[in-house]
Amino acid sequence: MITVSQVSKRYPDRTVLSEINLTLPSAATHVFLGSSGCGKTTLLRIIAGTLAADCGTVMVDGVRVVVADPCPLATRLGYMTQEGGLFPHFTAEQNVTLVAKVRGIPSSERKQRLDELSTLVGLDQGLLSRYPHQLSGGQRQRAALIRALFLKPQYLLLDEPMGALDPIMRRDLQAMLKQVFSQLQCTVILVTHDIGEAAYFGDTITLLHKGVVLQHGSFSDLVHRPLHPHVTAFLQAQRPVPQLGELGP
Amino acid sequence: MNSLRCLVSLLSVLALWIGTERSGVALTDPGEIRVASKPFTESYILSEMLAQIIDATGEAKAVRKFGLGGPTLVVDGIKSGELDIDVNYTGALAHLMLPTKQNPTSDELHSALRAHGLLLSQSLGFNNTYAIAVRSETARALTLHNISDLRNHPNLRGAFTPDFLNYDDGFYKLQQVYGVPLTQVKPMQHSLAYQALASQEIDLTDAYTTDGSLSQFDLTLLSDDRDFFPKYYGVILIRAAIAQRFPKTWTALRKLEGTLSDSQMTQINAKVDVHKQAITEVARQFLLEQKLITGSERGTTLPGSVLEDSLWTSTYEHLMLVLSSLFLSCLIGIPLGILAVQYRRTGQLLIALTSLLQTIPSLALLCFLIPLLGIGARPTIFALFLYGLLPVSQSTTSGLLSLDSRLIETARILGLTKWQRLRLIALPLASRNILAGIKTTAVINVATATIAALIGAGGYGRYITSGLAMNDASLILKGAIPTAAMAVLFHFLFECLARWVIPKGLQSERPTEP
Repeated sequence: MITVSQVSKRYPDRTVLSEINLTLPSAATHVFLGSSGCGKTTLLRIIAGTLAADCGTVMVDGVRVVVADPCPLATRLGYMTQEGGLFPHFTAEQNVTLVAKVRGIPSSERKQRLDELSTLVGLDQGLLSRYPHQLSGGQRQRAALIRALFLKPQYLLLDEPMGALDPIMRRDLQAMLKQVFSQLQCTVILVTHDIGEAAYFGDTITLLHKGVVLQHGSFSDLVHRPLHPHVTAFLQAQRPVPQLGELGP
Repeated sequence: MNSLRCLVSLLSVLALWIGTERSGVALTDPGEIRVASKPFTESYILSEMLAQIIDATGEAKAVRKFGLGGPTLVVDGIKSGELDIDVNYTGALAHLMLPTKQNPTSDELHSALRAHGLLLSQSLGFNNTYAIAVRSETARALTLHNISDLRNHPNLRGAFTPDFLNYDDGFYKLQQVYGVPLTQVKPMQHSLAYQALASQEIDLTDAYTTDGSLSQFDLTLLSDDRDFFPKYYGVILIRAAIAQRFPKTWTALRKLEGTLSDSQMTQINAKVDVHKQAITEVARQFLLEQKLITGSERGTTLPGSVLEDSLWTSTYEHLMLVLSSLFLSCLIGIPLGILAVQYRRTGQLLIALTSLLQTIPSLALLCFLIPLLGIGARPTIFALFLYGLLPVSQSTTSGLLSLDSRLIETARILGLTKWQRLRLIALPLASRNILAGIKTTAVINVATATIAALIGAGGYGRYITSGLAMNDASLILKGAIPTAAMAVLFHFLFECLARWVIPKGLQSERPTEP
């Protein structure tokens, strides 16, 4: 379980987060939703322990997160960003096995894990010898997911993982992720600005706006019991897909 | 990363090799006498004579350290035991050893030198002092014979060497002593001043009394009727220890005393400056005429002088200077660049210091380094190393700062330590920038290393220095062309190296849609 209490973060020119309080139970998918600049990525970094909050605390499984180098939660975290965050000078395989290699996990074990995971995320093993720039966006994200899952993390932090994909790839990847989440039973925090994606994944949704939590609850809570006019405004901001009949012959 | 490691080990091996090869400057082979010369014709010829006499006597072997620059370098080198012998001038020595004394006597000079373990021969005969030169036709037209005659012609245009303008006993003192009211005076290098005089751009300049190129330009030397200029008698300066160890050689060398009059010295200089005869030949011819050598040793004990040194030797020396200084620049510059990113303020301060170093003119820097490192390859390598610090550290810093911060953040969340992030992620990603900085340094070093000749480290600079000193364009080109070629070669070498060092994933970031 992750508990965020009274977390605030200010930069000289603006407040990014003010007095955030959240409880995120384990083995569920939590979505941080909001438009860009609302503070959702900052909150994710504070939870991961790579950025210090000005005040407030984050507890992961009852242990307070402190910012340290190397990242103290690293052994329990899987992390993936928009475009995957693969290192361009390593092949896909070098990218996914990097941390395991650094930690001294023997190569036979690495190979076995690689086989499991490439089957799980649906990435052709032949593509692993390619460099990131030789892969498509979807393939890069699958490789990045393998890397995030490689050391069997308890927590998976995903920062707009599908932000840069075309609709078809995004749809495939969403379905794959959903399946992986339910199969692995790990705690997921997913940052997105896409309402459909939030609804599809989120056991809970936290709607952030200008550094404040407007509402935290299920999607249906947000739709039917909005706590703030902006919640409804945000949910309605996405243009609905017109019915085919409306477009005329 | 592996290739980076290979590169580092390759460079270390090179540095070690250079270390063992080149540090020999200060080590004395007991059977050798190191003969120095300054970079002008007369000094080359006289030192060549010394070297030939030493070799002919057979007690020791002469090692030629010719073309060393700067007024104090050779004397300092002999004092500190890095050089053994040279032909010097009484006026210059008095200026160096007894700077506060007006017109010291010969005895005073001898005892001042003895205090530093140095011995002086008697005068070789000629007095190569300053003189004022005018075109012969001007001298006739204005009936100029003595310097005093200039008093009536304040409109004559003068150009003098910077030395002459700045020395205490130079131009301004001359104006006072003679009351010469020249109004138009500017600084100009010797060889240029003669050309300017010939083409009537200027009317008078300072000259040396035994200058061989005087005859080429039809110049008249005005006589020093008030005995203003100090005497610059040519004398042999030797370390006392060497004179003791090789008494036969010292006796043989002293037979040069009184053999060269002003006009003889001028003629000998002209053979090289005007008639382009080889220095070794001119020196040998004189020694044979004077029966100071027998001539039977021809071809066996007559190694080529510095100017006839093979191009390969120079190439080797030049290359070693460039590579070893480059290695040091990388060794210190890259970590400095990394520090500048980690600790912004301290790092920026250090980098600012390296840019300050950049502003020191190379000759001045060498002068500062000589007391610490002596002469030869070491101070040159150190100077080049200092000059290389800025481009290497700056490119490392800018390479690291231009990285996508999200990648570094990802590496951190993945649990890589600071050192692992630097080694595995940041440095390989910045390698293109870093290598570009190293390439710039290498190319600049190839050019700057030409100054090495002035402090006895050889390289292509020896041709350029001698060529400039003797106004010989073909000799200058003999140094300049290989220097340019080496710079171009380094450029291409680094293009190839880039393919090897820069990780493959960064080399062609063209998306290939499968």
